[in-house]
Amino acid sequence: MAEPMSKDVKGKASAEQTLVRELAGLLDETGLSEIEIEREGMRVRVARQVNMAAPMYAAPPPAAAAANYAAAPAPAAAPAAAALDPGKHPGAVPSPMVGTAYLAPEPGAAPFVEVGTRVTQGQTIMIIEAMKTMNHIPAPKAGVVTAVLVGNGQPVEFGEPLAIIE
Amino acid sequence: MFDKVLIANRGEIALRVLRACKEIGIATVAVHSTADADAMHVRLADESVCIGPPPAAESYLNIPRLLAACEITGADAIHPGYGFLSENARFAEILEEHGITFIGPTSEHIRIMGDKIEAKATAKRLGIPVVPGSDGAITDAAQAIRIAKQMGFPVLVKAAAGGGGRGMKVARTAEDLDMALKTARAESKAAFGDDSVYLEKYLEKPRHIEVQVFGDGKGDAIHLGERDCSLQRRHQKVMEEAPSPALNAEARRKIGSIVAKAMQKINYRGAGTVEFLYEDGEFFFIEMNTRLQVEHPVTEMITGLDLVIEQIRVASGAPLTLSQNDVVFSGHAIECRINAENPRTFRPSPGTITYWHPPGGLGVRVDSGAYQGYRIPPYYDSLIGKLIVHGKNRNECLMRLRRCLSEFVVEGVETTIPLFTDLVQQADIANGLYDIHWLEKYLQKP
Repeated sequence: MAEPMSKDVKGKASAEQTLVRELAGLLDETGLSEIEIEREGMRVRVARQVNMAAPMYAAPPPAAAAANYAAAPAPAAAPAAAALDPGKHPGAVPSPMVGTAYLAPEPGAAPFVEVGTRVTQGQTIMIIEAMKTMNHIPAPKAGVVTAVLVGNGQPVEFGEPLAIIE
Repeated sequence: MFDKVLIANRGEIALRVLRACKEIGIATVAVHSTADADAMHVRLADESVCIGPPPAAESYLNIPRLLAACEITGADAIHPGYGFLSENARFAEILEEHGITFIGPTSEHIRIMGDKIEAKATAKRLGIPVVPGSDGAITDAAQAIRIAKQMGFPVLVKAAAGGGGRGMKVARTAEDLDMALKTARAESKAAFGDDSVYLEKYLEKPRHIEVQVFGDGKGDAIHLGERDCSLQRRHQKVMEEAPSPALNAEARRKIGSIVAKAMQKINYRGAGTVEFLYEDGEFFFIEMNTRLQVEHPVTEMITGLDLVIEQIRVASGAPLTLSQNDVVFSGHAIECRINAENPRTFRPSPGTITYWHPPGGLGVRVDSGAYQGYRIPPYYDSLIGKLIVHGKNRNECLMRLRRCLSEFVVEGVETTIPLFTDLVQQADIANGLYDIHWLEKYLQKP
């Protein structure tokens, strides 16, 4: 992009810079990892790498000190990688259908699961509704819910990661 | 006019529909299987919804998933493209019940023309000339032999639930007929779930000439001329042209008028194609396709009408853009279907396109969703694009086509481009002297 900037392009460029700085500030303030806005034909996205502290995930079972030391780097790498793409996490539960996700059996009721809930295999973790039929989504394996990736009433597509169970 | 159209298809036709929607300001939703996540039309659409794994039954043919995708995106109309659910009367009906517009004809017309026996009876009633035949399903072998002897051999056994060139067996003698009936029934049952068959006179050297029609659903209908699709391999069209080298203006006007009047009588809505076999100056109806066809671009090139935009307009209740008097045919157009296949063995060649340079210039159109780096999935048909050229006359068109084929570079997969390069050198093609058996005979030569 070696073109000399005209006066109003320059003005526009600094307005964009201000916007980006504001968004970056917002990221820090709120602890979000990504903000994307679109208006007036322009779309801006600011994101940052998130290094999840190990405590976010279930702590590895107690083991001999030597084994722990050797094991430490691997779990630290895995959570960081998974944080960037939850769909690739081995515990991710992909949506088996297209529809709208509901986290509770009915409006106002407690959600089926939350982060930290221990589930058995086959236990309902949420409902996906399509064309007025409610479909219970079962946990594919027993474990602990470590992330709920969709919001209540959010449209989901086939294969979209719904939650992470470890 | 619709706010948002969901494109229930893939590949080049999905991109075609997307382009039309964008040009008239309609928001687009691309639904796709996991194998098509990187398809060009998915990338260009305003919204995309993954609806399932690669098998068509769990994605592009899956009605509940398509409806769910409509629901979550708020699409108010679906364009079915061609193939898949485009001629599925039940799908059209379900959409009608859900208040979503099916961009195409009514479920009733789809149903009538979907059953090939009923379609023929309807055509006959509407004054469209038909191939002499059994006038209904064959009940037993004795009846078949009687009818065949009456018409004269050779005869063709055809599946009532077939179409698109599938489910047909030739019988040259009464002895052959019994075996042909049994085989056709078994194949039809396996492929279409229905073993009804009927009989038709087998024409030895016909051309396949089809007429494009358009109706507004309220009694107005026009024809947009014919296409000659005689160059076929295993009943699949390979190369098409408009107008047909075999027809003059009077023949065109006559058959076009018969077909347009028939569509007016039934209040046909949307695009449709009435297919004929043409031999010795006579037309014989074989079937009607109640959808957009793969080869629609050659008609667009000679009439200047965007058929997909017209489909969308008519589906939203607008009248036809053109009256019959407004339709003017200009020049000549030829289309080559480019498949990712070996040009001699036709073995499919899926894989990654490592180099893609399509031809360009005046009168050149390439309808394709392919791009450099695109991975052709192995789960669907092998059509990767269509090369369409237009010229002021057939000669100019052929010369342009020759030039385009020499310029078209595709690497990483095999394509049928070399087949077309050979075909345009053949005297019969250059002179327009070919029938529906020509290509298979040519391919059998060493």
